[in-house]
Formats: sequence, structure tokens, C-alpha cells
Amino acid sequence: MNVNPNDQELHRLFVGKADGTITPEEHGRLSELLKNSAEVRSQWFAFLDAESALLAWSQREALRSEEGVGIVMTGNERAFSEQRSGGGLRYLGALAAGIVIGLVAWSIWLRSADRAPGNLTAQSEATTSSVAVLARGVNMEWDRTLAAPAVNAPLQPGLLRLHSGVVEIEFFQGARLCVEGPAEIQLVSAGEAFCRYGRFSAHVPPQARGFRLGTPKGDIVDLGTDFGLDLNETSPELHVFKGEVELHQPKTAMRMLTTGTAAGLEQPGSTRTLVANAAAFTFSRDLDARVTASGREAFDRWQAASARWNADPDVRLRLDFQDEKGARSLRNVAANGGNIAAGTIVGGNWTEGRWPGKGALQFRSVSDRVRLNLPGEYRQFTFSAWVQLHGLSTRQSQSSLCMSQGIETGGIHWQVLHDGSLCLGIVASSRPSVTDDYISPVVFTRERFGQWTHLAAVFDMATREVRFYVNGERLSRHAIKGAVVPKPSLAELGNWMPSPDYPGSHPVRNFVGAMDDFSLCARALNDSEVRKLAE
Amino acid sequence: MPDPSEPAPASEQFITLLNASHGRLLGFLRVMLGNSADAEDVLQRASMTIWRKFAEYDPSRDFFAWASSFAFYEAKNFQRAAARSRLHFDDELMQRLADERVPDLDHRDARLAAMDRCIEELDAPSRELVREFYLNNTEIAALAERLGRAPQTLYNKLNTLRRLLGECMKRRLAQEA
Repeated sequence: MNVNPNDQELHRLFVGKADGTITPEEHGRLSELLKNSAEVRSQWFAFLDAESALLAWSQREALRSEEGVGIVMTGNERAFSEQRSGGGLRYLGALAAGIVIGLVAWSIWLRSADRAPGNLTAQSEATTSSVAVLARGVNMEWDRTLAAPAVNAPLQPGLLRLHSGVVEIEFFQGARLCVEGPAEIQLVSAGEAFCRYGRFSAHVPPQARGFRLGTPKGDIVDLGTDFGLDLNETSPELHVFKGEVELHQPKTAMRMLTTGTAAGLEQPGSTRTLVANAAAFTFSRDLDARVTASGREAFDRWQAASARWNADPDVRLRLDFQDEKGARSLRNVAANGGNIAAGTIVGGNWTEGRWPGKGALQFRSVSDRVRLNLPGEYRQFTFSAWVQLHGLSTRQSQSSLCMSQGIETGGIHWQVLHDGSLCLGIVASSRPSVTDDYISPVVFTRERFGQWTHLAAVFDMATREVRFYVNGERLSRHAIKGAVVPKPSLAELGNWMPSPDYPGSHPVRNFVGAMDDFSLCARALNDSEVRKLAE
Repeated sequence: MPDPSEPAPASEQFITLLNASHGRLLGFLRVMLGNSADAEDVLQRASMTIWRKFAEYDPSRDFFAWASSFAFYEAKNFQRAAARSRLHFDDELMQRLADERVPDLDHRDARLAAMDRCIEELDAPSRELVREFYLNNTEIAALAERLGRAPQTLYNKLNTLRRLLGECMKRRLAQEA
């Protein structure tokens, strides 16, 4: 774009108009410019959209920081507080005037106000400083004071200390580094790391050529190879299995090592030359087998725990997603689940769950869902689900976990909000539409996308409390607002139907991810019971 | 349990449609009124009219196209009522802005998304300034007092940020195009 000398003036006029600081002369000038130039009008539109984005972002930020200090508000309270800070007290006037439609529209609008231009994915992209991903791992024992990434977690530059176990790190540039604990590694960039101690095995494909590993004994620059690095105290060694590696050590000339050679690193320019010994680095080749074995063990443990949970007399619905291949319904395997029928799968494909052999349903399109009929009232209940969220859409405000159809009194709406927080809503009144929303702090940041996560929501009218759990840990508690007894009735996993014959377009609430376990228990589980479900 | 044969009540349809068009309606009004507070006011008023007229709405038509005409007249009424003390665009300009804004709204989502990313590129103190400014309904004097800064300095800094952000947004959109 050319440097238009009017840009600065235009911006000044735009800002003055938007902020109400514009003088009559300036206003005349702005009007003239707008009238005479389509380009100026187009810039005016873009400017105001930018202002909308800044306002919406500021409101989201404020919400985030409020939630950060543990103030938990219902959806309506959130909206109130935003509107207050946003200068929208006039809505309250409309309410006081008793304009019912105002109330209804208002409650829904304000929800949209804090969600509307939300774009979590884009935000994550902008803030992401990840350089690698933890591709695989077995028996990982991390130094938790630094970081304890889970499999599939993106990794940012920084120090990782692995006490034991084997992990595989995939750098964004393409290099794959297998690390056997005890080891310490500092991630520097998508193509560089510093290894202090431990055993490492690297695979560097051509596109990652130039991958650099620093060590206390010198730097290794990989020219497209497979190599092993053993950084023990007494005789650190570099083994090249394939290709070429440059070894840069202080005060000595760079050395080139090629296929089949190895070098001792204890002294710069050490003359100890060796034959590459792949057998010393089998941990990287064993990783596959170990990942499979540890998956099998976990699956066996799950099956045993699963049988106990199915027998719990309060469990009304248990979907273990172990139905036969290609099934279009999900069996309710709860021993006491007599009056809840199998769920019907609409859209959605079968996929692999947490481990090989574990079934899961993939929810992808706006039509994918599991239809359920959940009769009865629940003064106490616990939802429990294992989910893998693939992302939060930029265009939709909520992702359904389990939602009652429509907005009927007593309906239960369990969902992930656009910002990654969880929301349990109980419809308090159908017309006008009022929902008592309980909203957790943010759970799904991009670090959690792609990871299997256990979620539980407990609703208890006896203690008048709602609790959210993530991976067995209690996340937040909220006092129950209303007196309506939840009545889920017709409900859907992974989606929401506003009403059965809804005309035209309706809000999109579909969940994008996978689910491999879901249950509804007619009891408020306590902390340790939830922890067991998450094991 | 809802009766599956019962059609969705008009109020529910109305809310859903209005909700879906809310951002676009607000964005539509904003270019004529110049600021978000007025746009919200007008949309609140217009929604009453839209609701009263909802029985006449033909569901096969685009809701935004139908509703925006009421919003437009509400905006003109609003201008007339408040015209004496404040500066407003004249009818001719409002009409032109309204006409051109409708197709322009197709770019709105991309702009919002681009801007979200640009904000994240700011350093923490700048983000804080932006946040405080918009949350406090653009009252720079009060903000300056709270931060112990000269209002004009603060305002200049803020407007520089707004300009940089605007440029960043344009750049991103150009890259994506």
C-alpha cells in the first residue's frame, strides 16, 4: 500500500468521531471525505470493525482476569458486569420497564456480546511460541517444578528435565529427538536444542537439515541423518548411524562425522574414534513396543474399573463406546440403567479412543450427535466424560458436551464455551428464557487440544453446590442459584437441537473432537470418587 | 418434554434470528453513528420495532436484510432526536454508508479475527492500556487520573496503538487475501 499522506489525518478524524472528541470543523471535513471517496468509506468500515474487535477483546480480557481470581458469575452476571464496564447500563432501563422481549433478547444478546467476535484459535496462533510437540512417551517422570507435558502437548522454548522414561519430541522443523531419562534438555527453537545430560537419538529428515544440538562438550549440526548422543559424565559420545554430522568443539576445527563413525566428546578434538554402535540407542526403537505395552496395561485397568462403575446402583447411563464395529447406537451398560435406552448415533464416525482397542466416536460436522432420552428428575447428578477436543471454532460460541433439547425448564446444558471454559446451565425459565449458568475457569487452552481429558460436573441440590472437575482434580465450586430441579429429557451428546422442527438457521453448538466414555450418575460424587473415574 | 410436533414459538425464532444477526446489525449501525454506545442504543430500540413487525417477516427472506431496514430508520430517528447538541452525519451520507456497508459486512469476521491476532502482538503495557480504555467506555481523563499520567500523552499513545493495530489488521488481511 502506498504511503498516503491522508492516512494520519483520516485516522485522527475517525478516532475523534468514535470517541466524541471531534470538533465541528473536523466533523465537516470527515463528512466531506466520506461523501466523496469510496476508499475513505471503506477505511471507515474497517476502522469501526477494528474498534469492535478491540472492545470485544477488552471485555474478554476483563472476564478472564476476573475468573482468574476466582470470582464466578453466572452468564447473566457476566453480561451485567461487562455492560456496566462497557457503559451499557441503559439495558437495565429496558428491563425495569418490563419489556419482556427486551429481557429475552437481552439475555441472549449479552451472551453473544461476550462471545461474538471471539476467535480463540486465532488468538492461540498469535500467542503460540511452541517449537515442538511431545509426540510420544512412556513411563514419563518429569521434574514437575519445571514442566510436565503430556503426550500431544505443544512444547515452548524452555527447560525440561526427565527423571525417567522415554519421550519423543518432534520439532516443528521436522527433526525427531528421542530422549531417555534421566536427561535434561533446553528447547531453544524449532530447529535447536541444548542437551545437558542424558541419552538422545535423533532422526533429521532432509527438510530439517541444519538441526542443531548444543551440548556442554560442543555443538552438533546435523546435515540430514540419524545419530545418537550419549551425554554421560565420563565418556560422552556421538554416534552417526546414517548421513553426516558436523561437530563443533571449542578451540578446535570443525569435524565431520559420517555414517558408521562415532567420536568421544570428553576433550575438544579428542582423538578417540569409535565405531557407531546402534545397540546403545535401542531405547528409541523400543519406544513403539513400549507405547503399545503401556497402552494395553492401561486398557486392562480401565476395563476392570469400568465393570465396577457399571455396577454402581446410582449410575443411570453409562456409555463405554465398546459397541461392535459400525454400530449406530451406543448401549447403556449401566446395571441399573433400565429406563434409559441406548443412544442413537447421528453422523459421527467410529475411531480409536484412548488406547488401541478402545472405541470412540468422532464428532466433526455440525450434524454429528448422539441422541438420548433421559427421563426423570435429578436433584443430584454427576456427568462424567472422557473427551478429546480438537479445537474451538472461531465462528461458534459454544460446543455441546451434553445438552437438553430446546430451552425447556429444567433442561441441562453442559458445554464448552468459546474461550475454553466449561458451563453447566440449568434452564430456570423457558419463557422468558433464563438459564442459571455455572461457568468454570478456562480449561481448554491450545495445550489441551488433542489430549484426552476427563471432565466431570457435579450438581447437588442437597448441599446447593455445583462442582467442575478436570482430570480428577476439582477446578471450581459454585453456589446453586435457583430451585428448579434438573430434568434433562431429550438430550444430545456433542450437539444441541433448539427444537425438533426448527425452521431456518439455528445456532451451531457442535462439539469438534472425540468422546470415548460418558456417564450420568444420579448422585453427587465426591472428590475421591471423581478422581477414581479419571484414573 | 417438548412435544416434537409443536412448532418453535415465534419468540424463540425471533431471538435466534436476532442473536445470529446481532453482530452484523451492530456493525451496520456503527458506521452511521460512529460509536458503539449509540449503535447499541439504536439496536435496542430497533429490536422492539423488529419484534412488533416480526409477524410480517417472511422466513424465506434473509433476516438481516429485512431487519436492517428497521435499524436504518431507527438510526435516522435517533439522529434527529439528538441532533441539536451533537454532530451527526446527514441523511444523504447515512444512506450511502448504509448501502455500502451491507456488502462490506462480509469482511467483518475476517477483520475481527485479524485484529484479535494483532492485539496479541502488543507488549503487555500496551495491551493493558487498550483494555482499560475500552472497558472504561473510552473515558480517557478518568483513566489518565487513575494511572497518574497526563491525559493528552496517554491519548496520543493510545491513538498511536490504534493506528498501528489498524495497519497490522490491514496487513494481515492483505496477506490472507
